[in-house]
Amino acid sequence: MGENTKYIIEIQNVGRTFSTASGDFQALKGVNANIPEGMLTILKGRSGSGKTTLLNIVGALDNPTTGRVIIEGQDVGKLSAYQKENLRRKKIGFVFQSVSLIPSMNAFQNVEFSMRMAGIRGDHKKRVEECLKMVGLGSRMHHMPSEMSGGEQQRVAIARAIAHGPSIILADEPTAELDSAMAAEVTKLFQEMTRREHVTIVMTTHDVGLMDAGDMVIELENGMQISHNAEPTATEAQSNGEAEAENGEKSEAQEYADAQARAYAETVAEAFAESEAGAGAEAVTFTGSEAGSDAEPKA
Amino acid sequence: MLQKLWHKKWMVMCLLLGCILLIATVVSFPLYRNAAFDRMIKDEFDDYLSETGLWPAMNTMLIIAKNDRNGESIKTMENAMNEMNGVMGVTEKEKIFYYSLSKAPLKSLWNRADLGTDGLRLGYMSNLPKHAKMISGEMYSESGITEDGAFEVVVSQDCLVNNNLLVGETLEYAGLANAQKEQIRIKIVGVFQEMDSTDFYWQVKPSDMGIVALMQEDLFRETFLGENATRYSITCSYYNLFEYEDITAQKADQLLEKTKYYTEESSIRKTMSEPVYKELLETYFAKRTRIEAALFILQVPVLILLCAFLFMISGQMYDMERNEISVMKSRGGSSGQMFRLYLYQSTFLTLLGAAAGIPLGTVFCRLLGSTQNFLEFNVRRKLNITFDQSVWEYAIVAMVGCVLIMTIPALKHSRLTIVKLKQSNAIRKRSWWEKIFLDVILLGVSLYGYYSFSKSQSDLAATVMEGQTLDPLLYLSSSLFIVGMGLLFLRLQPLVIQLIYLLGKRFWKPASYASFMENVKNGRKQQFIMLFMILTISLGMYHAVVARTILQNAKDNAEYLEPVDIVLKEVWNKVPSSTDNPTNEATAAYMEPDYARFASMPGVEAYTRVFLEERGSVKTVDKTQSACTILGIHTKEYGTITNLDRELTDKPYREYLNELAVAPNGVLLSSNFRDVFGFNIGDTVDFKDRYGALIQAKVVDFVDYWPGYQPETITVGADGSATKTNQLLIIANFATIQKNFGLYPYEIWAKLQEGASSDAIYDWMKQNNIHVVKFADKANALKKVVQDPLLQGTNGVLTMGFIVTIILCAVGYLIYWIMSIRSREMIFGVLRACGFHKGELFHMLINEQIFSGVLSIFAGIGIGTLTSRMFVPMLQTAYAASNQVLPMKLIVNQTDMNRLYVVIVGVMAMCLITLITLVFKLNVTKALKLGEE
Repeated sequence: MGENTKYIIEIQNVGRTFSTASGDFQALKGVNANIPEGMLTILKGRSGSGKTTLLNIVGALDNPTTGRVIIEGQDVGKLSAYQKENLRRKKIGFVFQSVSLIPSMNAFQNVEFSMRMAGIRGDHKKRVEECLKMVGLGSRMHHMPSEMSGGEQQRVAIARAIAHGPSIILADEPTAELDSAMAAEVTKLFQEMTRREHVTIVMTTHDVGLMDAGDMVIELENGMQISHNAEPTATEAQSNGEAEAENGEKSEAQEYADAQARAYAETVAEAFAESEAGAGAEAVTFTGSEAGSDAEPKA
Repeated sequence: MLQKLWHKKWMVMCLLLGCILLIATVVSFPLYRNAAFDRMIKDEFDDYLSETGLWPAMNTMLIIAKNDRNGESIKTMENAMNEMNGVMGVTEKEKIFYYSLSKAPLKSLWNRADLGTDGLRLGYMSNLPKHAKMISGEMYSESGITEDGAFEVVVSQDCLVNNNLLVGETLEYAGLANAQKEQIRIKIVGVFQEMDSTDFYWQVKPSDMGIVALMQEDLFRETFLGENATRYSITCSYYNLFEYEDITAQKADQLLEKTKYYTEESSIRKTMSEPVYKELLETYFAKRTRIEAALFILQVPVLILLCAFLFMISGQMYDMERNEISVMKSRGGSSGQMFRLYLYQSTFLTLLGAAAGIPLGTVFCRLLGSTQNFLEFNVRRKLNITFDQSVWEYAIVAMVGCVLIMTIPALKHSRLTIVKLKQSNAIRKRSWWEKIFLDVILLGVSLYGYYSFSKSQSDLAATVMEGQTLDPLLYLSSSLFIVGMGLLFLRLQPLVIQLIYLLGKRFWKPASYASFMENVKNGRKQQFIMLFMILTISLGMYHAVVARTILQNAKDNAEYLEPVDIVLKEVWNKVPSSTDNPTNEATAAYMEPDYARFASMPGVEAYTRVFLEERGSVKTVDKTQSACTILGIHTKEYGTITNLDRELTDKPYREYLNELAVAPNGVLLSSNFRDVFGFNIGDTVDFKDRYGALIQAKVVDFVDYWPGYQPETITVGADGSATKTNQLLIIANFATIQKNFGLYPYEIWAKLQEGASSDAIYDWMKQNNIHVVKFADKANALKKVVQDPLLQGTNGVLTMGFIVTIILCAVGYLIYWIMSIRSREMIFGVLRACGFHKGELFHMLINEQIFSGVLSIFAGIGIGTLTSRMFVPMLQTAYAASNQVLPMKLIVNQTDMNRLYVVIVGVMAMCLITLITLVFKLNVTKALKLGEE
């Protein structure tokens, strides 16, 4: 990447004010940020800090009161509702905090549905299987959401978000309902996806433990951006795997770099598969945390 | 509890609606029944009165008290007479005592030689001065006795003339004395006649009092009754007239029971003649049983649907409360406590429901009474609504039913604990009815019913005639058929959807895809509401066809039996006969009134003379004479005012008339001449009128039907068995008849102009002083058919049933979809966030509507049509009147169907609008938040 870094999302002075019964509430107060392409950006902040509001605005679900958001050079505010919807279905993949699968469709169908939405022609089967394997659910493709655990469902949601090949994935607290091991795995998955699929991922979290996984971290407090680790650092960090050193433990970053060298998809998938089976021995070395606790009750 | 109810206000409103409708429907049944029965009784009496001119509500008694010791017998009679109305519970109209002594000879004190009497009966009529007017002389005085002790009497004109009496003359009885052994003398003070000839006081006409002299009441009683009665022979006639307007359905039971007591058990039973009204009441009770049963049977499906609705909604409400219940249970609430909570809740709702449902029942009842056709009302017709005990009984039964239906689903839930809940949530299974093949079983049973009924269809008419009511099994078969077909559809529907899905699997747009998936996975949840819709619509269609077919056939039949608008037969005077025997009609000649007068009848398009001899005879086999009806017609004129449905005869109607017209000595015979007696065209047939005048004619042709002709009649014997009799009809040229039979009174058959009424003809007859022995008004006959309580009630019940079920259907459907959308709000939010357009969301929802709602509607229409075609022909037999002649036709009236469709489309549109509004209100970010909570 390096000097070719493009800002896929430009957040320019975005403010958002909600009218409530007790007067206007300023959720965002002029946030500026440029999010580079193909990276995992973490929007951090306590609850009520405006992360979700910002994410919704970036995802064209909400309109900013002031400022603007430019995605791939296009001012989102100038798009019609219909165009915004098309933008969402083709360019953006969403992962929500709570389980958001369509209950009447099984895992495979849920993932395939996003491809249908994006209007992708041809055989979907291969791609769907690929995505589900990537999230480690290759063996559970035909299970209904109600037959899966929360973590599994969330992984299906991630597969769905990526399946149609969006340029951006927006994830709102995707790990909030998961235990820490699971959360770490999901974050890892995101990291791996930015490389493998060359997709830009923006996720919000309030979990301090996950911050260092991001290529870039934007911290919000009371609707104001208090830190925005500069893009060159991020770019550099990505290339040498040291960017997060200042924020987190080196060992993890190192581990991550190692992992990158391997054939990621298979490894991650295996790790998930094994952790599901309750045999977490290898996963521990991979995630650096108690992956064994990931064994969730199955329906 | 109240707070809990408020929390689920939509569900509670639905439950309340169900309660209200259930109670209203149940209550409207006895209300309507009573009102209709009241009207029926009145109609029975009115008809009798207008047909015969006699007062039907009357008891008559007669004794001849000979040497009655101390007048005891008479006293008994008088007591009975005085207390009778009270016992029977009726309002007295007029009580007439008519007593007369046996005829005794008397002589004029004027010593007239030309006194033309061999004796007079001396008597009295109660209240005579109030009802009589004097045509000469005056009424007897209040004391009733002259200064010289003669009884003042009045006589009728006939008595005066027949006995050659004179007003003012005094006569003395030869063998009649008072208690003091003084000979009775009477003075004729006046001649009376009816003050008003239509007054029902005149049960005995003055013209029948040819040898009666009437004296003052008190004087008669004092002189001849009491202890004195021992001496005389007194004929006592009692006429007890009562009002029939106020005989209600409730009073009818008592009246009939007491009447039976008086005429069959009481000590005076032998003196009583069988009252006319007893038969009227018995006819009424027979009809009533039939109507009551028929209406009840027709109402059953609606009641079942109502109960199912309540059951469904309360079940769903408890489903929503499952979490609360299981939490409460897990915290130690007992099943009994849970159950009691729901019992209170249901009771509370039921009471509210009753408060609104009972008044609504009266509205239903009014609607029932004003139903003219399926879904067609005539608001001008009013019913008399009275609440009696039975109404409250029905209401209480309905309320208990409501409470039970709403509480029973709670039983299941009150045993639920959170563990069981989690377990049961994980299980998805086939519906129980699919597993036991209920649809196949129901279809099998109903088809067996269909098969056995269609085999015995001809017997059906006979059983109906024998007073049996509409066979519930027959109606049940059709209902089971509908339910079975509905379930079968539900079994097949998912397969069809899946097939469509698979056919276009790769091409489906996201919206269609999502709706297919939704239906494939969650379609089962909709089965109940779909079945509900199918039943509502197919029952609606079926009932519309039933109602229309029955009514139309009855109307057609009435049209056929009354071939022309007006039939009248004038009173003809006889030529004063020179022979000594004026009563022998055969030899009497009639004077034909001026036929030309009829040309001035107002509003008449065409008219003709028709000779009708209903007591003719015909030589059938060898020398056997059979009774027949002889019709003499002017072929051309007759052809212009009558018509016959082309389908009924082999050749066009006019051809038969032409055949007859060109053969002056020819006759048309009803086809049973050919079929039963082997007559052929060209044969000679000998027939006579009632007086024996003979005509020999050549058979020109045979007819199966003829305007007004009933090929066979069914009569019910004393043992209740029905027998069919062939009716023979001979149609000849009017001229031939008149030439051979002579001049006899003929009928005038007239066709009215468009919009003209028979009232004008009535007035015209009055003005021209035309008296008739027969006047038939087709419009009246048709009106009677339409107002027949069975037909009217059937229409009413079916229409009300449809309205109730369509309301339920719409509400149920809406509730189902609102719940379904609410529960999927989050998913919609996700879809929208993922870029699903609003249009696509609609598309998806509309697809789902099509899969469930629209398909159900089409299935309902299909099943309804099929059921109508199969079962209506049988069902209508059960409704057929005894005089049903025409072959029954299945009538599917497009207007009825359109009306039905408009209602269905309207309801569906309403549902759609509501749903669309809901989706519009859906806020993406809010919906997502909802999911995050």
